Amino acid sequence: MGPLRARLRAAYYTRMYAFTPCAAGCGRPVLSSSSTCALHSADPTAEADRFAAFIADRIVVKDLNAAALSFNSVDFSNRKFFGCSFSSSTFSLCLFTGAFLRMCFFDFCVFDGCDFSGSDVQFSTYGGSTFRNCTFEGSELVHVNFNGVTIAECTFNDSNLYNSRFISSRISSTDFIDCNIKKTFFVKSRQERVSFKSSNTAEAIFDLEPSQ
Amino acid sequence: MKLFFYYCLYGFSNCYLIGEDEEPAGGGKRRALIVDPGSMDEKIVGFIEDNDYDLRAVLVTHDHMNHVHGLRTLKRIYDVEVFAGDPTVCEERATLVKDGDRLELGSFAVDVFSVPGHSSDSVVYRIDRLLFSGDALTAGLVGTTASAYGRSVQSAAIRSKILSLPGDYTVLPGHGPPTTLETERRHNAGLEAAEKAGAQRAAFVRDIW
Repeated sequence: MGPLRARLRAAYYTRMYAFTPCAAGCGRPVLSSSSTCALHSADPTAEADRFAAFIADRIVVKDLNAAALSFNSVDFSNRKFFGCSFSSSTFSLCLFTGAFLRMCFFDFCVFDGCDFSGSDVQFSTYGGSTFRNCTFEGSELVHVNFNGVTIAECTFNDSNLYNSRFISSRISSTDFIDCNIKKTFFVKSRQERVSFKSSNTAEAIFDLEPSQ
Repeated sequence: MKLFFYYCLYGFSNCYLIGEDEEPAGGGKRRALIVDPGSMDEKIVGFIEDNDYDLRAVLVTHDHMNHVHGLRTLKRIYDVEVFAGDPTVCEERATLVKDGDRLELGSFAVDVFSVPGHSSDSVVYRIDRLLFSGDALTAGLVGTTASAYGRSVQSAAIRSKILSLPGDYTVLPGHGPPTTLETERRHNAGLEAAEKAGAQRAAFVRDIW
């Protein structure tokens, strides 16, 4: 069995963060170790700092809900995240180099100037997020949901994007050079100045079949 | 709840195993369910055994071989009840589920939504805030259908039964990456295409009459 095939067969588990509704009654889940969601938190900046300190102390982070917070220059590199939610959060100049993510939720986030190079992301979602000036060079991005994303001036060079989806995305000034894009969906993706040089575009999916 | 994900190379489908965190109040083993056993090998069996789970049930989203290929092997190893939208799955007897059913399986309450279109027996299961959508709804797409009628029925069912649920629900599809309902509401190209085709058909019928 080749290394790629072995990686694909890799299975993993997560507990998923427990759903406890916000004390303010908004129906959103509470932040981990808190009684409210970020929107009803008295001090969301302090909550973000608390999570940054929590993550800095650990190599493995499981079942964390840190949704709708703002992270500036936080180092997430070489950490392992399982079943965590950062939905609707903002990440500015954050480091995710060598990060290992499984079943993590980054939907509707904003990433500005973040570095994901060498990261290993599988079975996770970035749906509806915005990426500006980010790099994913040399990353494993397998089974990752990038649907509805806006990507500008980013690079995915030398990455494995097997079975990932960029459906209804807007991609500009971005390179996918020498990537594995087998079974990667770019259906209804608007692209400007995008390079797929040396990538296996014949194995990617750019159009829906009539019945879909 | 523990969730175990396994990518089946047979048919490139997703298999999920959901296990209880704690032992039942009356004692005994923690219980577990499997959704869509697309293949059954030592990794899945190892996960069940390592966690000392009492595997009780198999939930089948639809009877297509790439989602049930491991069912026979599974039934040889464990005494499980199979739940599906069809009384026979992979030539094995199954307990029929229908739209609106609620199954109480250990500490898991499983809600059933019938979403025909991709196949007549397609169902979506809800456990807590997780939706196991099979092929009916995957990230950015809906299930392929054999006819325009099927597509229309499927889209209507997805809109009325699935997309009406809270946006932070996690969708765990039969193929491809996970997603959230809010992402699907805003960015599902398959639903958009079905809606467009429906509008074109309506205009065509109006023109004729």
